Amino acid sequence: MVSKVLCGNVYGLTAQIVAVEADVQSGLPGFEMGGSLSSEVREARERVRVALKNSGFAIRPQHVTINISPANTPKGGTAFDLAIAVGTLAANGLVEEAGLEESLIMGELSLDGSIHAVRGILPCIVKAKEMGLKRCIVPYDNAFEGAVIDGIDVYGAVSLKNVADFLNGKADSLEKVSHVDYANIAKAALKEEHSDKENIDFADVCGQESAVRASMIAAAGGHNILYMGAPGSGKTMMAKRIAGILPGLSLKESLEVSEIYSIAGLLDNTAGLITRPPYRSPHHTITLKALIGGGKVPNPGEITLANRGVLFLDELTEFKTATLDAMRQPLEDGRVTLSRCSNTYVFPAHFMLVAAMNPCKCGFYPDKNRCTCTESEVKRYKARISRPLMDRFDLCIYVSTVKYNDFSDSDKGKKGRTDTEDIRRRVAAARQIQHDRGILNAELTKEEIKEYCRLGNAEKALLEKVFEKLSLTARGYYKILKVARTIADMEESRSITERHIKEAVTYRV
Amino acid sequence: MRDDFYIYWLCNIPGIGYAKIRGLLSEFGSPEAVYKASPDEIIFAMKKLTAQGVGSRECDGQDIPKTGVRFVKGDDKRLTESRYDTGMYDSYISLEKRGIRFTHPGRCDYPDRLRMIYDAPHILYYKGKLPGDAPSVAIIGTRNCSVYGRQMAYMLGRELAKEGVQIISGLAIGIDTHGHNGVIASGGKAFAVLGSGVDVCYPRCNIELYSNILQNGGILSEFAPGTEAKPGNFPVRNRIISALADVVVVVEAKKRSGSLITVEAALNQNKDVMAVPGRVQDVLSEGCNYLIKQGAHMVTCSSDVLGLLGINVLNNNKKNNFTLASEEEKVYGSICLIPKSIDTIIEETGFDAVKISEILLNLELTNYIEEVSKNYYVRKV
Repeated sequence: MVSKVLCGNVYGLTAQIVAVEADVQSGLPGFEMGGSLSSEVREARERVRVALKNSGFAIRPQHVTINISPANTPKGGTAFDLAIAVGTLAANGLVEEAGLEESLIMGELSLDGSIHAVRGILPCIVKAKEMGLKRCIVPYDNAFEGAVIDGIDVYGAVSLKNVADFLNGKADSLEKVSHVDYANIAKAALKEEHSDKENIDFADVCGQESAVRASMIAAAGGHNILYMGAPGSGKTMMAKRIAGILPGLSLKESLEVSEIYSIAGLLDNTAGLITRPPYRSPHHTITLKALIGGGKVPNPGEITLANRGVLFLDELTEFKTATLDAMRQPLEDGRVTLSRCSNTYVFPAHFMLVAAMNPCKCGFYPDKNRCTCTESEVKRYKARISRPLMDRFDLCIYVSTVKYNDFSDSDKGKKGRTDTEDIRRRVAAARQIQHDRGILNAELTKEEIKEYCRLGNAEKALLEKVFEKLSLTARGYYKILKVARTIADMEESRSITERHIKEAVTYRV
Repeated sequence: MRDDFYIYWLCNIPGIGYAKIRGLLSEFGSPEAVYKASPDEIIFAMKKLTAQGVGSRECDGQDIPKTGVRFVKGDDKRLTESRYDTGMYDSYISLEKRGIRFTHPGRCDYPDRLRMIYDAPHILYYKGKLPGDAPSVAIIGTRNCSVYGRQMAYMLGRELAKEGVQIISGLAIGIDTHGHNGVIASGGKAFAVLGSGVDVCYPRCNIELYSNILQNGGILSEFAPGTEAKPGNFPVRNRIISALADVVVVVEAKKRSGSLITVEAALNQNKDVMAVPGRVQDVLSEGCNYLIKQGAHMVTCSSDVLGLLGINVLNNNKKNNFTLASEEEKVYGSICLIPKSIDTIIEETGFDAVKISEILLNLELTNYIEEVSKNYYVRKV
């Protein structure tokens, strides 16, 4: 007798509903599994056998065959355990088959029959809803991930016994997750983040007005920004604060981000969804594959984890050149394409690149009294970052060393300090304008620049002068226009004026 | 014409250096005579010279240098055998193909300024032209220069070359390069004296300047073509730099600097030494300030140098007749010759980040200031 249980499978970032088919027949006892399974899926055999026994089910010796279809997609992870166990029970007539065709069942089994958390629950629930399934039975520890998904019942399961009871009609043996509004989650997350003043308040930044201003522009337009400065000048501090002034994610963006995090096993179950832009700061020893994603069936890399958020690369010059240059195409396209023999995977990578570097090896250039580097050493140091990558930064700002007066004299400090709440408001307003326009300024194409960045005659003349005088490239020219557009948006000005252009030129790379 | 080959031969014998050549020339009178001398004559001359001894002897309380040279065993063989070295003649013939010429004291195109010095080179290879009789100035200084030094060297090179002054330097990075770049910018004559062969561009990164100099000026060296740059060569070539110049200008130098070797050579050759002053604390100006304290002329503008050369220029001091708006003037006043960061300027002037970026760009576009590194600004000299 064959039974069929639905389960979720994730390969790359794609969720797929698969059917776990179980067949039992008399003959030599055995347990066979098929369907492009990886080793951790095959190990389910022992877990299922022992868990069934320890959950009090008496299974007689028989030949069990499991197939997970479609059989040609690669399957990995431990989420199939529960479905295999339920399928075996159903094939033995120990579980009613009635509700199975509209239930998604996922979870990892422990030998004692309890159910552990697995990766990738969220995208599978979303997929199940799309397929029109009625309910999902997932590990209790992951159940909150499904709380915001409307139109499908999500049950958190603690043990195999409970699941079997539930399927046999005891509705109260599993706890149904109550629906939560996205807005509530977002509000809670924002509140929590704001309470963490340590890391996000610009009021801690003192005497670096130009850098704060540039950070604000970068956040408002989603521009990539590069901080240069001496060691200890606060580049890292500034970068960390950028994620804090970005507006929260919309439900669509949040689901996109949370699904990735769910698959990577990084989703915090208590929060449910990720509602704030993610902030990732990998160490400079990171490998190419960890950055852009890798593996036979690729796992998302840092650039994908930073999707819709901030990727901060501290000590940019210390990264391997090949690693950095691998980001060039994702930076342009907002996604990364990883090709393998079996399949091609496309991961989203819409992130804002924030980087920090020293101007030279010792970090003090151009202060010749402190800098010990020769002119050619400085050149060589800068050449570690390839020109094409450098070209992808829209803004570059020097972060100067904080003077003693700036942080010791609290009165003077207060006056010059920036109100983070105010910055947040202005960034949100500028983003709203861009939202109405339909595209972030950082992502404007040449045609869109022509459409949205119309210039008057005076502005055109100024730009021509700047172009000649500072020997800009065509790419540099468009970058200035994009940044000028953002500055104008921040002032809620429809047209770009000379002043906006002049400020944008100051921040050119 | 044959004479050219004899001197080329004499200067290219392995193991026979500057002092030995001078001794042989003093004995035989001309390179041709050395070439044609019999082995016995050569052995006799070498013995005689060695017997005269080296170093100095005291006479009437004065040190008088001995005229002798210490020849070693095998020198005579090397000399006589090299006459049959056909490779030497081939390389002599190929010089022309490689665009390399040379001169020596026996020729009338040998620079008169070099004849004046005690240890004039026996041979001077060159590409391009030789320096002429026009007034000439050496611009020298540290390799690791500051923006101030760069600007001063460039400005001096440009302004002096405009008045027809030939600029001598050493093609090193730093001050030498920037001084010559100034000359090239105004289309003047630049001459670089190398510590390697004239066909070896050292440092290699200056290859562009190297070829620019050849357009109008020349590359000179007393070292045979193909010679690699060796640390010992540089102090030796410094005497040629100072000898070819009427005035030596030190733009930036640390207290212990190679430039001061050139200054010493210049003083021995009775040349005028000038120095560009710097701030008291600046390490890179210590050498210059020291020279001024010792009595070197101070250079604050190109006419200081021109005045010493006896060239009168109309005082076209167009600097400081400001037509700047008051805000711009305030910012300009805050910016000096030492690079200053945008945050410091904001702090000093009190304008906000938006306003300051506008003013800075205005000043940059009107050539008053320059952005030397990201968000670091200096005045333009």
